[in-house]
Amino acid sequence: MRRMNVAAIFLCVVLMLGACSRGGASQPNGNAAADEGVELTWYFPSGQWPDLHLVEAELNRIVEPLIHAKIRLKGVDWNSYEQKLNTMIAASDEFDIVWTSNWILNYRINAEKGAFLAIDDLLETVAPTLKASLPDFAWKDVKVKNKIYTVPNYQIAAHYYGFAVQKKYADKYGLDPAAIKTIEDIEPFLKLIKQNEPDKIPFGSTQFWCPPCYGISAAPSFAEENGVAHYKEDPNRVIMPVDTPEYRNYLQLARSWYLKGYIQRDIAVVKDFSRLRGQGNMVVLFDVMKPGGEAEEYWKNGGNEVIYIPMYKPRFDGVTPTTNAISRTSRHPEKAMELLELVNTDSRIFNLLSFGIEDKHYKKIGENTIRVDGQSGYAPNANWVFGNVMNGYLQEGQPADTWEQTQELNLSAEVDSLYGFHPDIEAYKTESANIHALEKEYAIGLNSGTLDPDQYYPLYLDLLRKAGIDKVREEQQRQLDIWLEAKP
Amino acid sequence: MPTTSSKLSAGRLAAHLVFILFSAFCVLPFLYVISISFSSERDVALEGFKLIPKNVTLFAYKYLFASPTSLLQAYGVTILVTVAGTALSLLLTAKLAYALSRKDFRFKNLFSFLVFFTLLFNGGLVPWYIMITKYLQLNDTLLALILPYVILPWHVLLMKGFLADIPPELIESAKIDGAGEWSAFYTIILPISKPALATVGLFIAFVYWNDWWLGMLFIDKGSLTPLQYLLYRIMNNITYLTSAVRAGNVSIDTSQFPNESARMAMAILACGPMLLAFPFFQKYFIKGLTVGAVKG
Amino acid sequence: METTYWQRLTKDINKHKGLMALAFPGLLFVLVFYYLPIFGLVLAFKNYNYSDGILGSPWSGFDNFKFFFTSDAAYQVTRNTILLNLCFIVLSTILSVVFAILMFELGRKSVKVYQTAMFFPYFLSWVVVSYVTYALLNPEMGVINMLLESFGMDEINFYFEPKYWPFILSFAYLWKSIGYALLIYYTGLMGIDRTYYEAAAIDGATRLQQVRKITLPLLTPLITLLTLLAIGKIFYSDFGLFYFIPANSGALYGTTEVIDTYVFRALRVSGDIGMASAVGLYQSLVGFVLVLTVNAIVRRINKDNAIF
Repeated sequence: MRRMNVAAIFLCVVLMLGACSRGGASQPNGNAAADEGVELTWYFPSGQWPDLHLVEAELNRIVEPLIHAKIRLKGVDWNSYEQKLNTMIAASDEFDIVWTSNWILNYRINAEKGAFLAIDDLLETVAPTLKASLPDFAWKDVKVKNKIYTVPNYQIAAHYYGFAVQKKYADKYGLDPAAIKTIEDIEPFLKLIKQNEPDKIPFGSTQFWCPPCYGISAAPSFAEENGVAHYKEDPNRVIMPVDTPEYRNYLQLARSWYLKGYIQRDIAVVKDFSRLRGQGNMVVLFDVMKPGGEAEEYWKNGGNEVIYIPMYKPRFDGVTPTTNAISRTSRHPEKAMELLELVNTDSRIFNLLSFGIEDKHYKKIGENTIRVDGQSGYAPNANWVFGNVMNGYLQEGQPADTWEQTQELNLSAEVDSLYGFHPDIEAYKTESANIHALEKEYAIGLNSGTLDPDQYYPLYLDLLRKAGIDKVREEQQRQLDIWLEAKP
Repeated sequence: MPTTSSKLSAGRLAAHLVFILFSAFCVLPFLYVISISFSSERDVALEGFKLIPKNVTLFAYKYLFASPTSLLQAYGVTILVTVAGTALSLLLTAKLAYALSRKDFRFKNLFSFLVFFTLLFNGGLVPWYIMITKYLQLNDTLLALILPYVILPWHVLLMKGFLADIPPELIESAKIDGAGEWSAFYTIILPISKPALATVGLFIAFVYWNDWWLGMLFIDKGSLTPLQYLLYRIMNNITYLTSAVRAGNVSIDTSQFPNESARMAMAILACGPMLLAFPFFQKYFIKGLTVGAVKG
Repeated sequence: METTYWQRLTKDINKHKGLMALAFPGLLFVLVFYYLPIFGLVLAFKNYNYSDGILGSPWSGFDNFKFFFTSDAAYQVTRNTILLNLCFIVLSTILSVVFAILMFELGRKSVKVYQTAMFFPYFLSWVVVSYVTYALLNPEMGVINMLLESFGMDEINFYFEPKYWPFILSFAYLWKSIGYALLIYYTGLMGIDRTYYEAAAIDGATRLQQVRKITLPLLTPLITLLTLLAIGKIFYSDFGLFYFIPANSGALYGTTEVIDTYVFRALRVSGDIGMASAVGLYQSLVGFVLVLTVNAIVRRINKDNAIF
């Protein structure tokens, strides 16, 4: 019996050791925080970068003397970020700063559930420079129930969609961009390509359902919507874009393009869209646009120049696509705020996080322009994860006035009349879950013209009704009416 | 003898034929995977999948080996976890399964039910995560990669199924020799159950080897990242960089990135060592050191 | 003399001290990693918010269950989950038992080669397998459509034709898992006492008779066990198979969507833990009922084959 439960004892010992060593390690954190050993953990999505620890060391060399805290950078890969952080937040894990947005790890939902700390006061007391550095609309945009829970990473805050056309074909077939006013206007050009360029795919996009092109103020998908949808001329009445004549017409158009062979037949299940696009075989794409975007498209289209044909005026769509919040579980919220202030105001720190170490991860090729070494040990290519991009370097190929253009666009973009209204989805989260599921099932098939709208659209709409799309609309309308009433 | 040898061999031939066809069917896609991993991305895009690559290139492997230290470190972590985890898990699984397989054990049904119940009911991710990080404090330790999978109900019940074949007389005879349950387990049960141990051991090893989930949830430290999670992350990098959406503002020719080929190379790197370890396990379940051998 | 329940229990524990000690470490792990976290099931009945924590959050009754049961999807995905998995279980059991017996009859050398070969697909992840199936099935360049074309037949846009998918999924499942299942049955066969066969051969039994009278009856407990386990796991279906192989094509959901993929799709955006727990509980309960039923039937037929 001597051998009895060796393993069990082993387990117990391990557990106790674990508990002790952790207990010991975490003590200085709690008691002697002022002296030394304040550690701030920052979770953000990132790739696998072997040199992240070098960046972290360099960051601490600069930051530690300034705020007397050590920073731990915790990059989590993009695909796991939401799952991992959702779990950590739900388990009340302790960490300090967390990246959150309106497309991964939803900011509003998490703020409402109490994941983040309200930072209105901290911003005033600890980070006045940061507070002053951003335009008012940015701070207004991140308010949830009248409180600020996150620091937006200021970047382009307006978008518009339109056609991106390969220039050589536009020239060859004499396409006049100015003549393209509506989605339908591009069809003759597609027809020419179909007839004369058998190796090319005339139209490459999976879907080109674009509510603003039809005078509807909404995002293309229910899932992306943080506000409510309405006709521009009738701003106070909530609508469901899938249940409009405009959508029905669009579906017929998409179907006819599909049947005429303008759209690739298996486009709805293509796994690797960007690779296909990278072969330069897609002549026209429906795409999101921004100043200087044509330069990027060059490589995305396999080294072919493109021209942009916007379909509507830039719309302001907020600063929540990328923000950093302070966790409710943070032990040192003031320190965390100090760090966020530094990152957003000190370009040294911002550039270090975004691009790594000079001459190791990038080279300076101009006063404020750099060339990133994509093969190096740190090239996250996502400066917008960390802070205000306008404080940072420009990359090779970006025009020197990129930030001025961006700022101008942000300030001049069309702001929706209901801007600032965010429905509380708690009231219809059951319906919302089922609508998402249906949308995933039918939207791509219908929007790409792969499914016959005469057969499938009535079915889809019927299912949406059963899933409660009308209840969602009524609830949104109810909340909107209250909001409109309260509005001065 | 009624059996005619010619009929028998015809049957055998047919059986061989079926197996050869099926085997080919199983191996062929694997060969494609190998071939693609050595092809250039352009060739794959233009020519589709080919059994023999048009131009052999190591680009995909070079890309994955861009930081050899972290990859080797990850191999080290995974090998260590797999070996230690499999050994510990196999021993405890066999012990528990053996007790459950004994028909004369008073608590056989109760305990079997307790184990089986967990196959169906669990508290979900969050409480389990809290248990491991808050109470056991295992995050960022190798134990976080080992302990959660030590007892998997499916393996216990499978093992129990195998061990139930051991004739009770054999155990009785051991007891008459004066051996307690423990020494009987170590000196008699374990040795005669090698095929079962090898089979379940192989499955356990697969669980440890293929896991990236525990790594994703519990490991932040680079030096403790297991292989599968590292590869998963590298792959995500490529997917992320090549995805047109929200790609920030940089100009890279993403069409040159090894995407398909890297994915396949990753599959090869991920399963290579297990492929090599397979014959080691196979030795035991082919040999079939059976009960009869000991009894005779 | 009267013995109370507790006295008998103590006596039994004493008598089985050795076996208890063997089982103890394993049970400890079961307790720590499975039973302690099981209190999380309460999340299914809570409107979970982070500041109040798991226990402090307000109760919400059956609200979390609503999203699943008010949707048309509940019936469809439950049906798909059960039917597809039953199909897998039946096919895979028959095929792997037949293969295992055939291998048992053939020599060891060839077995080694076949076993290794058939285990190969098990090494590949579903993502990689999905690339292979896409190469076979896609409408533009797919191998199968090229073949159809060369025979002068119309091409099939597989990713938009739900009716083919039960077959395609079964096929992919069998292809990937047969090596594994086969191995289990082969190991079971290795455990059979050779002397039975020797005795049967002396009595003049043919190979087929031996298989029928000795091999199959002796393999039945293992077959029953594996089938029961598989039924228990029906509701924890192979996510990768159902998610990656149909390329997440919406048109195919009618025949390919199972509970896990539905929940993934519906809750991805909100990540609502309460609703996810509610569906998890539903999966557990239905699985539990299925297993208890089948176990009761098995028990009726042969008590020894039941697992509890």
